[in-house]
Amino acid sequence: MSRKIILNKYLVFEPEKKTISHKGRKTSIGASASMSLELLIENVGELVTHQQFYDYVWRRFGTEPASTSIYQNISTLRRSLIKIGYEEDIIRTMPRKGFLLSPKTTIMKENIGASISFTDQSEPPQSVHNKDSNEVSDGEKSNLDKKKIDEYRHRKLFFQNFIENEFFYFKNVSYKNLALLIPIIFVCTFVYYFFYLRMSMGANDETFTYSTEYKDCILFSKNDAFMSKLDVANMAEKLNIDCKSTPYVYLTAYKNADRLSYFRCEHPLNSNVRANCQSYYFVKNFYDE
Amino acid sequence: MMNKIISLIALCFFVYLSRHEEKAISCRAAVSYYWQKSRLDLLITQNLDDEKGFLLLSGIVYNEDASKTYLNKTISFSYRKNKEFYYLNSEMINNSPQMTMSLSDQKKWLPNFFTITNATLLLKIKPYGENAWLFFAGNNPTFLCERIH
Repeated sequence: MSRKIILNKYLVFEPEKKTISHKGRKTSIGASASMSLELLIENVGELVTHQQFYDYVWRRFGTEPASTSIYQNISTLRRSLIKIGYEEDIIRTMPRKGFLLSPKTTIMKENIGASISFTDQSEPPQSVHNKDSNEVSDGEKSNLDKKKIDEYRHRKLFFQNFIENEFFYFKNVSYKNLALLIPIIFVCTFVYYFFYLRMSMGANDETFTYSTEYKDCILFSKNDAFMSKLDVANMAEKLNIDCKSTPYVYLTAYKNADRLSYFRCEHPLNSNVRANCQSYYFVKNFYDE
Repeated sequence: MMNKIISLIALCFFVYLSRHEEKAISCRAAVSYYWQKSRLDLLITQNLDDEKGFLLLSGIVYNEDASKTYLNKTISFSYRKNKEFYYLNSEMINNSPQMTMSLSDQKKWLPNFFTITNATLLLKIKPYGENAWLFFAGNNPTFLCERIH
């Protein structure tokens, strides 16, 4: 994933590609210039000392820079900005101390390949030298202000890092493990349907339950007809059911109804084999006889 | 990536098919009706899908006096479904020219749905396992209809 940092809405900096662009004009900057700009952006509105530059851009990679290296980098950055038509001087020089990115710079960070942006509007410029202070000296006031701004930035950076690292971590995992995710979805769906069908079949199986055996017949009765084994056997006797070729009989006879029905099947109804049933329907109440 | 997309589409298609098949009923039943001292043996083939259906009915009535009459007709209908209940409305009835059963005899055995168009019939149809449906006209299951493969 490559990052895109948009400064003041139109100036686009892509640290991984080491490019800056402005309104369609793009130019490459060197690796050290790119890292210098990154450091300035991370500390927008704050002084970045020469030592910080040396540490971040060179020393952490084990190289010792020349004393002019930092000035060359900043100069490169400024020239590149002019080259792409960005006239505003956002990099301020603090003589003999370091550099800072203008506190008015707006920063929007995007991660290409994901869909989130985070806007950082730096604090409005604050007076470093406050002449109205009565109880606190100028130096102390300045330190207090700086401390407050530091805390504010720290909180913001924490939130920003949390969003970028944690949220995108999960998003990336999803993308990276898509190949794993699809079979999991497939398996889950299959399992769901398997149990769904089994449950459906289970519900159907409850329509008839095994009752008794009579001659060659295996007799089932409808659950809600509340037929005793004797009732079922008597009905089979009265109906003179021939079970030689179709042994499975499913009988429904309500005591107060004028109908009786049964199915004679070659195979049980709840098996995977076709049952091959013949249905019989009587307009008659066999309990009367 | 393409394979993953194809897998996903196949999965959706599988889900669609499995849901779609649940709705359609295509089955055949052999049933004998006994009323007083007569018997009507019927072979019923029917198909219900997407609120349209047809029903093929052929059979023989064995009368008390040992005479036989034949029944053979095709009915197309529309239907609405509410859970297990189907509200059928007859749209077209074709009687076979060889049918010998009189209209009055048909009316003795069959509801108006089978003899006149735009007549209604309420059925309860309950799936039984994966290969059969139980058809109810009242409290009792009238017949068991097995899937036509």
